Amino acid sequence: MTRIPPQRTTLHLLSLLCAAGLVACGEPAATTPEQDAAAAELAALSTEVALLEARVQQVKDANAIKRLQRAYGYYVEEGLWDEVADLFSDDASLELARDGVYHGKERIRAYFTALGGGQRGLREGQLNEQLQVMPVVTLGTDGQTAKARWRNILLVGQLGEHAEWGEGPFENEYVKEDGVWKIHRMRWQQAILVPYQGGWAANEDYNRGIWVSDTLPPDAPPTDDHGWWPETYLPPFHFRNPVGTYQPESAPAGGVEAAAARPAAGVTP
Amino acid sequence: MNRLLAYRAVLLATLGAVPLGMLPVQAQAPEAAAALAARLALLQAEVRNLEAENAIENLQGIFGFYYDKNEWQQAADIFTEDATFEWGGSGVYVGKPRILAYLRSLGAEGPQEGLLNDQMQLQPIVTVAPDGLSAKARWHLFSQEARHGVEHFWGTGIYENEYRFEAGVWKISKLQLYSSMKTPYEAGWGVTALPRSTPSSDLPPDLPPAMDYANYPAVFVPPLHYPHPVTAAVPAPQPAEPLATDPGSLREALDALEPRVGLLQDADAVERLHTIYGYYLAHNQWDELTGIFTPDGTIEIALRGVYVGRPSVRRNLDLYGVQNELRGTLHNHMQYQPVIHIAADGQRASMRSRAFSLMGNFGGTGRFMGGTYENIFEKREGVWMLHKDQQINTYFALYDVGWKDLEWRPAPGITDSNPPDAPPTLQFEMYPRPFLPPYHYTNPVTGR
Repeated sequence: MTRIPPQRTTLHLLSLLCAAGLVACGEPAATTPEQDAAAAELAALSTEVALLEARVQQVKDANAIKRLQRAYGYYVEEGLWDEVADLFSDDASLELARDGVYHGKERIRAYFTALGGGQRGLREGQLNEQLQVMPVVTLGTDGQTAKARWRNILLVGQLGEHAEWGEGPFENEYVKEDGVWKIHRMRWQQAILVPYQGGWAANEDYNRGIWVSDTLPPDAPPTDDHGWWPETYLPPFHFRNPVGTYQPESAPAGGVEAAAARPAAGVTP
Repeated sequence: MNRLLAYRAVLLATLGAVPLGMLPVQAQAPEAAAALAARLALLQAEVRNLEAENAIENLQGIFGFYYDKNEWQQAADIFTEDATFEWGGSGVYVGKPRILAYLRSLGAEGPQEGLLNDQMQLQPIVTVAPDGLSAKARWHLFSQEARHGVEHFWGTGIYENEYRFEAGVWKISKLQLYSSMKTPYEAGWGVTALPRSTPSSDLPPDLPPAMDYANYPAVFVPPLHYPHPVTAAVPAPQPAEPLATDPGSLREALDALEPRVGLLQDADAVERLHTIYGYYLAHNQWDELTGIFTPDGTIEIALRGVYVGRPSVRRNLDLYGVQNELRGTLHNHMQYQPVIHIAADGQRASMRSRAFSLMGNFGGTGRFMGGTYENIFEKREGVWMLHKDQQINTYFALYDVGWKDLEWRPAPGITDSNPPDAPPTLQFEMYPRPFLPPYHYTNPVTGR
């Protein structure tokens, strides 16, 4: 900053501000209607900027949560377990498939390390693609919490040994700590994990949703257990219909078609 | 900030070092104005970079849709003049003309009979530079490739790309695809892993491959351009220039920014609604799905014709199964790669996106479906709704057959017992016949 004699600067600035109607000139207590209007306009602007900042913050928060979950996928598929664990808050919980609940960041680290067979990085010949797609992010009104549904697509296996297709939805919770979004609760339902040969039409679930809990018991049993493919389950949506549920005025048409498509047995209402 | 500090220092000197909080209201005005200007300038920079993220996600999605259909000229046109291009082990092609030459070496221009080349662009992590003039992004590639009667493959890879903002338009300045896995459809990745490609002898690259690595089954981590999201921070956006501090200029800047923020929120809302559509569809939630349409909305899928209005939309959905009916059935309809354009008034949006479905019954048959959506969304009384849902199917493939020997058949067409309100608006062909689903947009760089 260039040094200018303070007095000259002050006088110059005050005259400018005075001309601009931003400061009172002459008697400090006296204000003109123009000055009052300028002050009111600044106050209004300040309020509007704050509102706009809050709206931009929402967009930034949603993007940060997408970034967090996508980064999770990129670390998981390379077996970078420490990077994965560091995405969670200290008091986070993790529940994948039917393995049960693991509490706290260090147990989560242990879980992922066990998933990787105790080593950092993949084994030679291991494929662990886990695509994180279809985010539905819902921000809490407090600005510090959020929920999101995602779909995880898995192409996994070991060359020469086995290969599986997998998929299922996450319903996760996130928390903002010191301005940084972290995973607070991760819950993934394994809809299918089936051998590549024959796929989901010919095979039941490959591991019945048990990945590591037989060797690393969880801190708590599964919060809800709905079996394994071909059992199916609709994990509840954390979000409300953003428009509204359709309310038919009378019984919906197409009943004949629907009845024809209905399997002969195993119907649940 | 220097300006702000200068004002504060000067005011304190003038008023005899009175604490700021005790200043008369009118004396705080310049302080407030300067602080407001700084906040607005930062907000402008944040909005600029959020718009850049959206533009880059659109751009890569647009690239993917061009690449799918051998639209080589269109694809090459979204690169900078000095861009570099490397696909797996192709080596590096330097400059737009060489990129076009490389792309043309892959096949004739435009959709081809018997060719399937679905290259899905997924899982973006976009990092915009603080000045908003360049960006990097990681993407996941998931591909379904086939030559009818000859061969068919699954593939995956990781892009680490770079982008540049030139004359108001985002372009790709570096495309680098690290190939990960490629396997013939019949065997799958548990049996066969194909190696990384090698440079062409017919059209040798300008530079050798930038990095020495091997495909799966080797272990290789494509370098990550971004810092860890929790243990490190991305540098904050930097304002291009300070704003004038008079109330008139501040008002003008604020009024110009507000609608841009609205469009960012609109883009988020539209993408979210379309994703919700996918989840409702996947679980036969027909009343929920019908509810997201406008009262006069339309659905048009698989040449079944156009169903107009919510009661007809609801009736159409009965064609795909019974509401809430799930047992032993996989009906996973995924929504990927949205390219979203919001109208300037924020009341209407157009979206192209990709459909990929895993379907079938345990003990029955498994099926894959691929397709393209060209949808329209409208904001009605402040709420985004789906107004036109149109899916142009690329294929329905039995799990046990795949794409190599998939026999051509027309899309399902009209159901006599549950007919549409109007015939199909667009007659399309499915693989192995060639078809280019019309785009709602023009090339973002050339306007063609």
